[in-house]
Formats: sequence, structure tokens, C-alpha cells
Amino acid sequence: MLIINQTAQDGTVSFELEGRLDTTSASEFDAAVNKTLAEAKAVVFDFTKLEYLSSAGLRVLLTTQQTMEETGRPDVTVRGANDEIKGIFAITGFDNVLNVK
Amino acid sequence: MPKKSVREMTKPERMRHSLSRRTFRFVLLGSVLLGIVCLLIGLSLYAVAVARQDISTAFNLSRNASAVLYRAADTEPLSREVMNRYRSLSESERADPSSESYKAHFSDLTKREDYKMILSVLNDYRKSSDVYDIYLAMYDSDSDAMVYIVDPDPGDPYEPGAWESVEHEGVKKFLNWDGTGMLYDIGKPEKYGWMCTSGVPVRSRSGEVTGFILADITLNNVVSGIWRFVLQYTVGLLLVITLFGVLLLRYMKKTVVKPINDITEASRRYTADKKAGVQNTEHFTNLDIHTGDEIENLALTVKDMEYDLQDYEQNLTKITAEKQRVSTELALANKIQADMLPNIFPAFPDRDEFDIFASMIPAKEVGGDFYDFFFTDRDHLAMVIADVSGKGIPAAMFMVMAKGIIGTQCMSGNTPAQILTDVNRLICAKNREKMFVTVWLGIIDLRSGELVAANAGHEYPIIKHPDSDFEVLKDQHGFVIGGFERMKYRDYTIQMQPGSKLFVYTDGVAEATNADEELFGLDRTVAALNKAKDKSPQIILETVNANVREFVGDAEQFDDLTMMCVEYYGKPDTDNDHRPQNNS
Repeated sequence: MLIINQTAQDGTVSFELEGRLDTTSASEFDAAVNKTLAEAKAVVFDFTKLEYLSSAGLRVLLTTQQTMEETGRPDVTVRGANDEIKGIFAITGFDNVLNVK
Repeated sequence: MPKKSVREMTKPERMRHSLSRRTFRFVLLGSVLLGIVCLLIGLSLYAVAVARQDISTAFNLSRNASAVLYRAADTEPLSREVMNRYRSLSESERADPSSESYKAHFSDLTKREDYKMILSVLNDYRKSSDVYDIYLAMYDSDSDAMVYIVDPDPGDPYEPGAWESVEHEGVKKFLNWDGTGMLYDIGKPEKYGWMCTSGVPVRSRSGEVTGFILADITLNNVVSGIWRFVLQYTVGLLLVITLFGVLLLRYMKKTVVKPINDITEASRRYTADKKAGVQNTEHFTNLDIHTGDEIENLALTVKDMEYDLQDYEQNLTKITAEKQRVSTELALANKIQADMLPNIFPAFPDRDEFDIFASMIPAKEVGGDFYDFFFTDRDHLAMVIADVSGKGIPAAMFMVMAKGIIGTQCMSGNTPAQILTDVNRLICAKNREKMFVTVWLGIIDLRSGELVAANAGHEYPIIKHPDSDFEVLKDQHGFVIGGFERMKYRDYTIQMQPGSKLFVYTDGVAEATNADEELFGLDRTVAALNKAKDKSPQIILETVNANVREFVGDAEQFDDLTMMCVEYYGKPDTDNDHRPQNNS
């Protein structure tokens, strides 16, 4: 179960996620993100209420970063991730690729 | 209690569920009610008409009698005489008009000529008509009594002076008559039954009312007429209702009940055929219903339904077959994937320097986990454990590609970091779908025990050196493979002692989840490993697996459970040979 709360301000698109970002919910999240990427200057993922992040979820973060980078807007930030998710970022090396705060 | 289906009903129960019976009952009840209402209306009209006829007869008679009397005889002297004598008597003297002493006051009057004259006129009138009696009387307002003057009653005539008490209200309209309309009064004296009294006042030459010519008509014939009317009416009505009901019943049976029964029967045969597996039935198509109403619409609709269901059934059969095929292929894919991994143990029975064991327990769906181990040359053993993002066929296909490229690149003789860098570049070049894979790659020199490894975003290895416990090795991490082409990876070295054990795994172990959504976690993994730390790699993996199962309980296994454990024994010719004695 994943709740996606999307807001946009001054070209920065924010996604506040609540619940579990797993194989099932990742495709929904992917679609939501893809729709906005063309116009976004920067993307912020707020993971304060995210409990679980699977590899399918990581893939969405990766494709976001790739798309933004290809168009010269490499400003993708992840905010508020809990220790477990931060651990996943550390293991997978995502903390070096994304801007994890 | 749930209602029975038609099939479960007994015959009488089905009979009760009959439209024609219901219609019949409805028609019967409705007609009887209607008949009763008509009867009441008819009766009252009949009674009023007959009564009017009688009243009018009586009234005309009395008027004619009064006219005749007016010419034949003067009634005034006699009337005055009777009334004078009546009024002269005291109340007690006239208390009983039937007593002889009372009658004696008037007895001489019957001998008078005018009395005889009046009597004979009235008597003639009575005989020539249907009235019961026609008589001359006068009303005394002081005592509210009708005093008879001349009465030709054939049965029990009143003598002059006989009186009956009457109510003032009853005679008021007689006294105040203005000469228009008919005068009558209906009552039920005990002696005669229903009776109508009609009449006209007789006036003296000066205009004073000196008496009344009154005609009594019995209404008993009206009452008996009513009874005859009711009897005839009822018999006729019953005949008409029954005829009407039977006709309607036959009509309903033909236009409603039979078509519905036909549809019911067709449905029954249809379901029976479907149960028996008969295809392409035409039970509803063959229905011959042309009622031109909702029932025909129903028949047409079920006919369409039969066709639609046929199509639907055929589609469903196709879809089911297709699903069956896909699931067979998936099962096969799962098997092929499992067979791609080295799964015969002991894997290298002719090598004494190490023991290795690995297992992959797939989740329901095919996944993207894999492990691999192989010699790159006589002394170097390469070990790979990897996890592809996502699940299902895409992950499995990506895994096949990744496994092939890694296997090929390992033969280059490069270090793990260089190999992963090359693998990443190769995969990124063909990775339109942006899948990625985490890889841990280690190559051990079996002569020296030196293990060189590189980690592309994979879980931390867990290592145990002789005389110590399993511990997590926080190695240097590169980014996952398949993400960015420019990524570089770094080698690190672990010096394996004889007896050192290395455990690598995928996230399916640490992220195994129980019914309370709790993760198994790294700490429980290390604890499970240490429970069997002195055992062989196979026992260690079985222990971890058992611990994970126990933790997860009845919750479904969501992710693949992939583990690999290697134990280094050292070179066979060294003194520190930790190999178990039975394993030579």
C-alpha cells in the first residue's frame, strides 16, 4: 500500500511517499513520476513516511536520476529517509548518485 | 431461511406458484366484490322505484276518493260530531278505545245516513284498487291522536271515535299541506308490517280541515320483490363470473402461463446440458413465443443471452488455455533458471582446498537472484552473487544476460573491480529498460587464500575467521550495475585463513518478513550463522534457511532466498589442514 502525495512549486516537483514502495506499487509510482519529469527543474522525494523500499523502487529513483541527468537537470534529492532505507542507499551506492539528505 | 429453488419444489408447491390460479382467484374475488356493489345499488334503485309506484297509487286513490266524497256526501257534520264527542270525554274516559264503555259514546253514529254513505263510497274504492284500506280520520292536536271517523277495513274495522296515538312530526306535513307534491308516511306498525300511508286533507266549505282521506298500502310486496330480485341477480352473476373466469383462465394459460413455462423448461434443459458439457445449445432459439408483449421480450432476451454466453464460453476456454500455456511456460522458465545455477554438490569433489555450498529458493514468481562460482584458471575460483531489480520474466531475462556477461568477463584475468567496471559498461550499453543488478564478485587464490572482491551495490558479506564469530564486513560499495556507464568499482582484499568462512546472500534473507511485517534483518542473520558457525557450508545454509522459515511462519515468501557459503581449507600440503577427516 503506497500513498503518493505530489506537489509542485517553482518548477520543483515533490513526491511525499507513505507506506511501502515495493514491486507492486513501484509501477504506479513510476508512472506518476514519469508524467512530471518533462517540466520539472528539480525533483524532491520525501521519504519521511516511507517504511519500505524495494529494488523496484530503487529502479524508479535510478530512472529519474538518469532522465534528469540526460537533460542537464541533475537535481534529484531524497529527504527524510529512515535508517533502514539509508542503509539500502549505502549498500547499493545510491547515496553517491542521488542527493540524500 | 433461504427460498427454495424451483427445482427443489414439490408438485403442490409448484402448483401454488401458478399465475393462472392466482388470476382465477383474483377474477373471482374481484367479480364477487363488484357484484355485491352492483347488487346494493340495483336493490336500492329497485326498492325506491317500486315504493314510489305504490305511494303514487295510494296518493291518487285518496285524492280521487276525497273528490268523489266531496260530491257524494258532506263529511263535515260527521267529522265535527265525532271530534266534538271525542274532545268532550275526559282523558281517563278515552284511555282505552277498545273498551265497550268508550265505544258506547259513539255507537249511534254508525246509524247515520251520511256515515253509511261515506262508508259505501270508501268501500267501493277499496275494493276496486290494490290498497289495503282507505278511510276517513281526523287528527287531534291536543292529545296527538288520529281519531277514526269512517273505516271500511275488511278485517278489523275501526268504529267511529276509535283512536291511535301518532307523533306530531308524522302528521305535520299533512296538516300544513299546500296542495303540491304527494303526502305520504312510511312506518312499520306491529299489526301490518311495512306500511305506507298516503292521503289528502278534507276541507270544509270555509276551508277548514275537518278530516283526512287516508290510504294504507302494504309494502310487503316490495320486500318480497327484493328477495326475488336478489336471488335472480345472484344466480345470474355467479354464472357470468364463472364463465368470465374460465375464459380469462384459458386466455392467461395460452398467452402468459404457457410461454413462461416454455421458458422455464428451456432454462432447465439449458442448465442440464451445460452441466453435461454440451456445447452450442439452441434451447432458447427454438422457443416459439409470439405474444407481442413483455414475455416475448423476455424470450428474445434469453435467446440473445444464450448466444452471448456461448461466445463468452468460447472466449473463456481460449483464455483458460492461454493461461495454462503461460503458467506452464513460467514453470519451465523457473526450472531453466534454476538449472543455470551450479546446483550439484559437492561441486568440485577433486579439490581439497575449499568447500562451497549455495542455494536459491525461489519465491512464487521467477525472480532475478542468482549465484555462480567457477574456476577462472587452475588456482582461482570466482564467486558471484547478484540480485536483479524487480521480479518476474523481465528480471529473469535480465539475470540471464547479466550472468552471461559476468561469466565471460571473469575469464579476462582482470581483478573484480575491473571486471565489474567492464560489465557495467557492457550492460549499460544495452539497458534501455533501465534495469539494474547488484553484484558481489570475489576471486580467491586458492594457493594463498587471498580473496580479492568488489561490491556493486550488493549486501555486505559476512565473514568468519578461525576462532571467532561471523561478522558483517562493511566493505566498500560501488553503485549498482546498469545505472550509469561512468561508474568505477574498487577492489578490496580479504586474507582467508584455513577455516575462514565467507557468507554472501541477497536481500531476500535480511528482508524476509513475518506476519507482523517485521524484517528478519542482518542481526538475526548473523545470529543464525553463529548457531552453526563450526559446521560445513551446507549445514550453515540449512540453519539460516530454517531460522528464516521459523521467523516468517505462515507469511508468504515474497522474495527469492539466495545464499552462498565458502569455507577455505588452505593448501592441501600445508600443516594447517582444517578439512574434516571424512572429506578427503
